[in-house]
Amino acid sequence: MKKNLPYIAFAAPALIVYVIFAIVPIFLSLLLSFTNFDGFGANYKFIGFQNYATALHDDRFFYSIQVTLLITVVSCFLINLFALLFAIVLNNLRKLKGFYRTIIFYPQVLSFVVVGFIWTYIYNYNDGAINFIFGKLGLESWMQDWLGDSGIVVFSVTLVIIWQSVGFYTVIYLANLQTVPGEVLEAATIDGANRFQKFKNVLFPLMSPAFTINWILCFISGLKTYDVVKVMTDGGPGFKTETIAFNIISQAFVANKQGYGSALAMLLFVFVAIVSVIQVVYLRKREVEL
Amino acid sequence: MKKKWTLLLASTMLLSMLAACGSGTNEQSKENSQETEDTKKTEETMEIKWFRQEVGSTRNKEFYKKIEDKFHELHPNIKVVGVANSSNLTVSEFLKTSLASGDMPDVVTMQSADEFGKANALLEIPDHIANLLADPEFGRTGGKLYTMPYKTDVIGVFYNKKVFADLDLSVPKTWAEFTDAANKIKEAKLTPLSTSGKDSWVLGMGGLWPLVGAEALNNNTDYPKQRASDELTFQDDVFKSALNKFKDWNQNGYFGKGVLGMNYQQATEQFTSGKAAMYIMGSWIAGSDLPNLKPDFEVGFFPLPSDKGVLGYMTKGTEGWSVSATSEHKEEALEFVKFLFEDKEVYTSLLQAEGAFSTTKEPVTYEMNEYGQAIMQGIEGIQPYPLPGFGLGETAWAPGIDSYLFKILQNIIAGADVNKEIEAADQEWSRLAN
Repeated sequence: MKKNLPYIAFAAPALIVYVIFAIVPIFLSLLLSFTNFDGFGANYKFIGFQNYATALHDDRFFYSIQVTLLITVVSCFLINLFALLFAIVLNNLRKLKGFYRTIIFYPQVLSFVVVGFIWTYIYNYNDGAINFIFGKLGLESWMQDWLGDSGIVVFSVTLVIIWQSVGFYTVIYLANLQTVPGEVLEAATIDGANRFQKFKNVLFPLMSPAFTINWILCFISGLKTYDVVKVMTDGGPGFKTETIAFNIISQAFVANKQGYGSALAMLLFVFVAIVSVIQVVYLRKREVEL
Repeated sequence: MKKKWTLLLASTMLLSMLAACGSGTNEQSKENSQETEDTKKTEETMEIKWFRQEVGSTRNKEFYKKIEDKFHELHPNIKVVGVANSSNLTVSEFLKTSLASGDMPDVVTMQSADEFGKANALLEIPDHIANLLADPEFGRTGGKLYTMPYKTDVIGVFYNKKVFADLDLSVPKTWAEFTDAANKIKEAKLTPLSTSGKDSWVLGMGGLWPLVGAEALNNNTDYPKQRASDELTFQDDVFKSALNKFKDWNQNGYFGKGVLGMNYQQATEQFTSGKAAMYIMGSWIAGSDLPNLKPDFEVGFFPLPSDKGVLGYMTKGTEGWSVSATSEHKEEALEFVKFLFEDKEVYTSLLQAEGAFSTTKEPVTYEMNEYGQAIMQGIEGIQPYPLPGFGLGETAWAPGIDSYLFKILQNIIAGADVNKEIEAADQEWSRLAN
């Protein structure tokens, strides 16, 4: 105990803030999830596991899980792919390094609300930039109602998430890349490894700490997707782009079912926890150290 | 040895941090005492928070600042602090979250007085203020008035007079004439009806609600009330045929292409730039910034006709000023609400900014722009009818059902089956109402 005192002392202020603003609300939410609270106080009662039972038969909720997983998996896969690519290219650039780094990181500076708003104009059917370019190129058949067509709207939103986030993940890869010692790569070159072999057998394994962090951060933020959907589609058309987080907010503040919304939030919480733990355990195993 | 040093360092830092906190508190308390002295000087200045919507350049911060300052001049001990909704939540969502966090402003713009009133979140408006209204009995919930409706909006069809003249169209007086005009506009390669599928409330305001209203006037004027009391459901002919007519508009291509990706601003621009010939909207566009207005653009207005003809025009008078039940300065807040009605200059400016019509016992008029004048001409000699779905008191529909119905409209544009959507809507109603 005595030995740990300094650590406890250092952690205490942050821990107290964390407990008050994160742990306590989670427990309050857990309590609320067993009630039929409508958000206005006064009359509500404990209804046991009824909210959870309802959730199991709620098609809209299950659909929102599908949408969320689709957005998360597709965006995380592509974000990591592009971020890794950009990081390697940036690392090897001789000129204008700062310029390109700024360009790639720039969208990250803007909030999702701003980004989403800009993209609704780019996606507009009649005078949006994308359809305009297709029209000018004579590719009329490629022109789409990007935010209105139920079949593609989820991907339109995912693209914006990728565009906005890729810069952040690039920076993490870049930081990791710069710690890879030149000798190791040099040794591989001497051993006769080609570029791809060097990447696959030397570079990528050494970058796995960054990959672990990036994948998990990306996955968690994907599962929480809300603001970009709220701004770009408001969950629509219909319920086609409703994510879990969006569904929770709608239940709690639009439909006045805060008890039910809390139950859904608890399910999301458990889901994110399980997925994160599995991923951390798996990804940590394959990390290598010099 | 090393450990001792670490411990010493850690405790010193912790102490210095605590000391820093301490001095902070001291300074703060000094400031506080300073404030108390100041307050004493101005005979206990108190602050009341006023939540209102900041929209475009007509209803911006400066616009409200003038009102806030004027009140402060008349009541030097009360300072009104404006609160704006800087999030992208709707007014009702914003108020619910502020209520949940115990931070509801004292005076608020209220669009769902019924819901908030029943939850005891609002103060009952006393008679001496209620009597400023032309109809103090309007919109009471269980006999109690929770909001002071300050404006009446008129909802109907705005049309481009030039397009109508070019195509030799007259103002439609029946449903058949309306459909006929829309078809001719479509043949002329223009969008007949501008609307926004992305901001789905526009589909409701510029589609479903006026359609339900016209059907109700045509078949059963009590439908909104009977739906509210569960006497009738969405399966009723009034609602069903309104929804089918909406579906037909979309299937006949009246909305044009890409409607689900279009937002409210874009829909408005489509009309003002002459690409769309008609736009079903509320009188508030008269008070808002209108983009791309062409010099030869001339606007007209007519109420949406039903099968039997124009039987009324839609009005929406449910938005008002309310006082939070948790306000610490209830008397002052009520005084401010009274001021918003009694001060002619302030009241007129509020109406003008929204292109709205007055609700006071003594009607207030002002010089209207071309949109307002078009509305005045369009509704002459026609009786008003309250927009269904936006009622107060016994005509109030289940809270949250409007958002759900807007989603259904998007589904229908995307090709969903009307009957299935109606079934789902009835199920959602019973879930929301219980």
